[in-house]
Amino acid sequence: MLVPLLLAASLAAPLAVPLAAAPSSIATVLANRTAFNQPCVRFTSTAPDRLAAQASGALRALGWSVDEVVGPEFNEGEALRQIAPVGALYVHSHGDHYWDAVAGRRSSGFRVDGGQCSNAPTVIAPEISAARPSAAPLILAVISTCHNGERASKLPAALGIATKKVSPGKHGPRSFYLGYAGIAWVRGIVRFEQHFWRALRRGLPAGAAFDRALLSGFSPADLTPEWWGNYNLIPTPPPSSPTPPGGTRNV
Amino acid sequence: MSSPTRSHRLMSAGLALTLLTLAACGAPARAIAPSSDHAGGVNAVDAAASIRPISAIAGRLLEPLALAGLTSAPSQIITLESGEVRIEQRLLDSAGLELLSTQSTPSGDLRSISRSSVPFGGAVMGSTALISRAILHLVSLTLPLGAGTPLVSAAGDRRIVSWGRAVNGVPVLGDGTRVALSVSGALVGIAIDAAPLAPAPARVATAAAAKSAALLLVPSGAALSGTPKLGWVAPAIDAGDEEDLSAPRELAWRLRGTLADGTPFELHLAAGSLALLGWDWAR
Repeated sequence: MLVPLLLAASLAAPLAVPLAAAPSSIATVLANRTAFNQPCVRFTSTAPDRLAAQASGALRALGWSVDEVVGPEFNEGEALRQIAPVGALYVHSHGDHYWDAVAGRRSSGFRVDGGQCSNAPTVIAPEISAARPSAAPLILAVISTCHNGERASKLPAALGIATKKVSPGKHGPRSFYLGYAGIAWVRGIVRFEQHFWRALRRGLPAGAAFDRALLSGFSPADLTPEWWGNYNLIPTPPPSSPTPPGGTRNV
Repeated sequence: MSSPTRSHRLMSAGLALTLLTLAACGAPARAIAPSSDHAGGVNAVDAAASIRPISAIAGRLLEPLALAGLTSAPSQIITLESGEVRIEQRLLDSAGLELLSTQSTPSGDLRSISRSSVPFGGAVMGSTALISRAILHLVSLTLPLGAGTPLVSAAGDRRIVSWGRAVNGVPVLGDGTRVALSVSGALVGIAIDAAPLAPAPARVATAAAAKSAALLLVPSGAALSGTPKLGWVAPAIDAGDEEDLSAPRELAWRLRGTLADGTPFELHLAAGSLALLGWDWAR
């Protein structure tokens, strides 16, 4: 009696086989608050919350379903858990080319908040790649840190975005990556991103939004923005059709 | 270079808005309602405020935009983060993509031009040629030239030629004239900003006093470096790191240094009282 039931159950329960990964319509916004505030320093920093709110507001306006993690809950595990499935990502924190102990060389990434003033754990490119083994390339990634706009940064590749530029009017992948080369000062970051997000909310392509933000009044000595991907991309989420035509394929 | 005071600017904005309202009342409703005027159309809002029509600006670009097939979006009155009122005009292509936008003051001064989809590539210009090209763009649009020596910087395959704004030799951070170009000199955008300034203090503290005051504020392990410099800065919200762009710029001592972990920072102290106005630091 039991065997036929189990057999029937096994036949009835479809075994879903992963197909080509579909882009996700989920966006995540991660911001480090602790390291930039009292008691870690003697100053008040409202910038991380402002930057996260700007990013979340714009992403929602573009149609994304946004998760926002600001402050100590932005830890290593949560960051990787959040990044694994997303189609759009915003990170504001310290960033650099950190030591990758496993590979024995430097890799690129960012520090998490984790409630720590300094030397908070890092999330580096190989960890992101491992967390997204078959995920589609991100549609939009804004890495609001130092150094991750440099050509040497390994974060674009970990997010599936080639460090190439698709010119205005040309066809290319549905991806756009924004980062800053060298040291990035926070007042410049706030000005630049305020203009960038505003332009995206107006329906401009990501490359044109970048162009607009170049006029935002930041000092070029304090900020060097860089981008990769498709100038023409309007970074809306993918159509919500995770199920392939004909429904889930069963075996 | 002098700057209008905030009250002066608000007065002129108020006057222009009154004119706009009068024009709106005296004109057919469709003249100011959102419309699908073709490029070249001038609506009552623009006419009342002596705003240069965007179609005229499109034609004066060194790389003029062909207007066939373009439509002008209705002009809008917008308020910037600074509280400054501007009138915005936009030219859209057949897909609704914004190809050109302008912002003018209510009194008709053009303050911003932004183009979209300016191609990359072409012969890469050197700094001197880029500066010449930027000047040509400003002259072509009859915009005022920046004062002093411009700075040329690069970002994302674009070039930015910028003239800072200074008052009595003291820079006003974030203000000035910026011209964004492609590497071959095509115009990407222009911004001209001049924020209102707070009255300068009757007496400016010495650089040495500023340094002593700063040492009391910096976290343990931090060190100051270089010589304090004067600048007009936006005071920060809660004396933190986020600029309050709606506030007049204040004369401040700027002091740079590094935190214990090597992160660079900059403190802003009121030039007269040495009160903390805000700070900035690297990520």
